[in-house]
Amino acid sequence: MAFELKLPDIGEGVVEGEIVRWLVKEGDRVEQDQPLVEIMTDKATVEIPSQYGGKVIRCFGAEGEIVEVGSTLVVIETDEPVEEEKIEPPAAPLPAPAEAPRQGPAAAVLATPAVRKLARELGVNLPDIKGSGPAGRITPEDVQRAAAAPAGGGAVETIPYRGLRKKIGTHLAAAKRAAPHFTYVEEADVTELVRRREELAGSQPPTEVRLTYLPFIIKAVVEGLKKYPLLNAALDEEKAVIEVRKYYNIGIATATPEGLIVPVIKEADRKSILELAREINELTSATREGRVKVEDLRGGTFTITSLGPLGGLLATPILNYPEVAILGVHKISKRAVVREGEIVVRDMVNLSLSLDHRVVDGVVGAEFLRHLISLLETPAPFFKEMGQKS
Amino acid sequence: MTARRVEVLVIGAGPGGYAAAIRLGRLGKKVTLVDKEFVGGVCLNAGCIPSKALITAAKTFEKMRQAGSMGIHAESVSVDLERMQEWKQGIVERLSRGIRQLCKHAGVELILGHASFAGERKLKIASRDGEETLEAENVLIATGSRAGEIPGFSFDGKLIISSTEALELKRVPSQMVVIGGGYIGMELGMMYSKLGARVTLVEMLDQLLPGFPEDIVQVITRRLKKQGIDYHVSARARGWEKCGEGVRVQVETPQGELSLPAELVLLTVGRRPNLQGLQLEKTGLAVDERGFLPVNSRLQTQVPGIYAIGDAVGNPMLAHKSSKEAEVAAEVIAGKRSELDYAAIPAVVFTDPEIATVGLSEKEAAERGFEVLIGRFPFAASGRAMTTLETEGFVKIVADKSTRRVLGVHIVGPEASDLISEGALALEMGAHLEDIAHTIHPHPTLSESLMEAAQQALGEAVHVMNS
Repeated sequence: MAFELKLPDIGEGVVEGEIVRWLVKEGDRVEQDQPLVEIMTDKATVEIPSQYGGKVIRCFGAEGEIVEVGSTLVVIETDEPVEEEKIEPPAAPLPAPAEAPRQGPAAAVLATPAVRKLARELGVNLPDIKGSGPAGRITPEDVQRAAAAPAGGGAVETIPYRGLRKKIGTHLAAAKRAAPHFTYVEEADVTELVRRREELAGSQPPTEVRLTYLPFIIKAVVEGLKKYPLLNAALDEEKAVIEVRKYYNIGIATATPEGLIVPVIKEADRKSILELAREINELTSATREGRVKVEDLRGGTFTITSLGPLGGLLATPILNYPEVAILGVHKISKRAVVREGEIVVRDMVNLSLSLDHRVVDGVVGAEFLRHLISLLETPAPFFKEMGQKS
Repeated sequence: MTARRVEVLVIGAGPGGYAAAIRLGRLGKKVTLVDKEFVGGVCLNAGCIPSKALITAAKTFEKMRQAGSMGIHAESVSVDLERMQEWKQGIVERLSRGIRQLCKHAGVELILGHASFAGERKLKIASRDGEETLEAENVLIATGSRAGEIPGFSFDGKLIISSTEALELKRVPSQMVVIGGGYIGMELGMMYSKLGARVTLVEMLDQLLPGFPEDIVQVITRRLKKQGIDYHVSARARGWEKCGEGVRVQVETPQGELSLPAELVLLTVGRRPNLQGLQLEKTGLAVDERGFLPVNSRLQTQVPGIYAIGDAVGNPMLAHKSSKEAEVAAEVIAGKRSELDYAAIPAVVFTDPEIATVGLSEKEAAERGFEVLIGRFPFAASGRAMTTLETEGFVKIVADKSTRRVLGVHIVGPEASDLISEGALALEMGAHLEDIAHTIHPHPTLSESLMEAAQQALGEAVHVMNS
């Protein structure tokens, strides 16, 4: 009688497996329980045994092929009829007859019938739980907490994963899944930029807008994007096109208690340093205070994430999908560097640039960053511009 | 011929079988319920229900004759056993109809026929419409039990009868010997005594109601004496012979041989599981040395897909144990995570006064290593009991001295059968003495006695002396 062996349900959540190695071939004789094939799931590699002895008639699937749970792997011509007509005493005796109730009148565990039922349904072992109810009774909450905790875990604080946090999380996960990220890190000598900015900031009346490095970085980025337009693009896989944007909307990643939110400065190429500075302040304050408008969160083409006071040497920022590039700016700090054979102290900053490798290759990314850094290292044109438009 | 396929076949429509069938139907399974005799099993037709009906009637008769102290004069009170049987039968029929209705609503197919195995999941059903073969995905054996016999005594339906015939008598016997002083013999013996029969009880072990605590049984034996019921313990019935219209029973006692005259002999020596006739060997299953079919706490036998519950799987042979197992088995068959998980099964005896116990007795608790704390309240101190003329008996609560956790509740006295559920709940909830003692029980009731007994254990009692 021909018997079809299907890929069984190997474990929780496993829907398919990869055929690693066939242990038998068509025409082979097999015994009952003899392993036929090795299957790899994302949990483990298992051997699938034959339920019957007989001859292998057909094997389905090549090594390396992915097969679904429930699909036929092997067809075996069995020795004996598949339906067992012989009456034998059953193989495995089952434990404990109904006469021994599990609880008993003085069970060590204090739990009411309702709680015991809940524990049964959730697969929780009551003796493992410390009851928080009166006289040490196990409450329904105790059971639910134990069910949620990892095996062998202790006390746990459960924070709901929902709302903005969940939204951000889902967005980040999608970005990572869709785009193969790579990060390129370089350092920039911004001593000149620092000097000039301090000069300017010192000469400004206090009521004037707070001027950080960000407006300069934005300006440099826009110039860089004009020269390397591929970094100002988005990949539409469905339409199979790379959409290169001819407008420059720079997102400024802003930290809020709920998570990182990215307000967007529209048409950054058309704004002056001071206008940028003003808009940065407005948008980031509004974002932190939860007042930011929806349209200010949309339409970005490139994102800058400033790691500010925390510093760090290097980061691997996650793309603000579907943008193909994101620039991480670390802390500006004084470092000892070698210039013309001498050790000098310069204001240095690290820049971490993450890119979607489907659209941007390493060389292009590196060249963009090089160009960006050269602009920051010789900031004269920015200040000239500022001088013209204050 | 291809056999008809059914999802679940339940063999036996007693309190276990029909409960499982209805529960399964409500859980979405298609059930076929087979019984060879009637719907409701022994419980409904020849046990629990009929016996309680007759016992209540007999007690009412007795109460009316004793009501003179209340100022009620019932001059000519008499018993018409035939009419009583009709009334009882009416109740049985009403309940039986009810079960059929419930089965119908749950989509359960009812077959009156005899089921036997032809293979692991193949069964032959022989009914008056012929024979049918069914293939069942799941089988639930709930075939119950039948009255047991002892050497020298076989049922003939007339002179040597079981509880089944005893509940169908149309005439109160003038004299009867009851062999077997367990709860069935005691209930029926006391009942017929109230109806006018001269009853003698014969028990093989050294106390009536073996297994029940001595102090509880003492209350009953005091009443037996008052009612003029003779009894012999450590007594073995050896045989019988016809004597005129009736019989004489030979009984061996420590004091010597007795020859007891009687119109008939009621044999209540225990019940045996009904598993022969099922052809279990076709499935590979076998019964254990006591005749029960072994199952685990999910009511599964050693053959996947075959389940068993009730009297067929073990003691205690009680309808509510069966119903509980039916519930769990139904859930397991329906794929839910269910298991037998109870703190205790209450046991009730409808003697007069009634007995009801749940959990550990004083002796059992001590055997398990507990240092016990006892609370006791006699019904003689209960105002309510006095107003019902039933002041014999007591409530006893057994607790663990160190934690004051309730281990057992034992009641002998009026309405014990209805008072015990508080004890069962206390055990399931893991209650401590304080939980019962500090719950307000209404006054004036019999249930207050449980509160008082708990208080007595704690030294807080008002209406009795604290220990």
